Amino acid sequence: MARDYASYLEKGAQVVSVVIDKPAQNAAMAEKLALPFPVLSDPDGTIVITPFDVWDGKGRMSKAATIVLAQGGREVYRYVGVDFADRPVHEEALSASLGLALPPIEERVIVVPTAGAEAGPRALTISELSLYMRGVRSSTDALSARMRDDWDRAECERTTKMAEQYIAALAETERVVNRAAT
Amino acid sequence: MTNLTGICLTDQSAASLCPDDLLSEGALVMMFYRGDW
Repeated sequence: MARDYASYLEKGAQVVSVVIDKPAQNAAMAEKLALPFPVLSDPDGTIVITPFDVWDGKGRMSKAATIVLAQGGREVYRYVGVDFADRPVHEEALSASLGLALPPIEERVIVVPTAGAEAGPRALTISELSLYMRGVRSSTDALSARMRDDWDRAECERTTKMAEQYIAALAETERVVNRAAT
Repeated sequence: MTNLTGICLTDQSAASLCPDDLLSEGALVMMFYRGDW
């Protein structure tokens, strides 16, 4: 999503992410991943996570979800992952935005303060994230061959595609971060 | 439909950002993450 942010702006859609982490953790994550959009903090999930019905009460955090709102707040797309590795392939959210036929939006300047940024204890490096997604890709690719049910096989293939998108985006992120450092 | 009117959150630069303001510019894609990634 971050590496295809311009496509969303061209379709008239702004992007934000919402997590329970504190702003200092979000600053570290935004810097690490060169995120071009705001990362909003909803520490106990009561401001938007629960009202949008994506609170994971068991894990006491947000479920992995993508929701697209049209102007006026009407919901036009919703994908709620059933587990930590279940995310929509981003074309679906982009397609929902495309259907609204809105004029382009200018990119906002996002300032990520490096002072005070503090990665959380479970935060992974880009290399670790890439390795993790390669594991998701390999396992879902292998599992799809074992599936007998069409829906299950399609679900494996969708997750493999999602992992491939993440792997490509992480490689591009590494290039963006390295360019910025030189 | 969840009403975002008057709702603001803190972004990564510790500034306040109100999603409803972004909705006045166009559509809004909200990505919810589990955190600490």
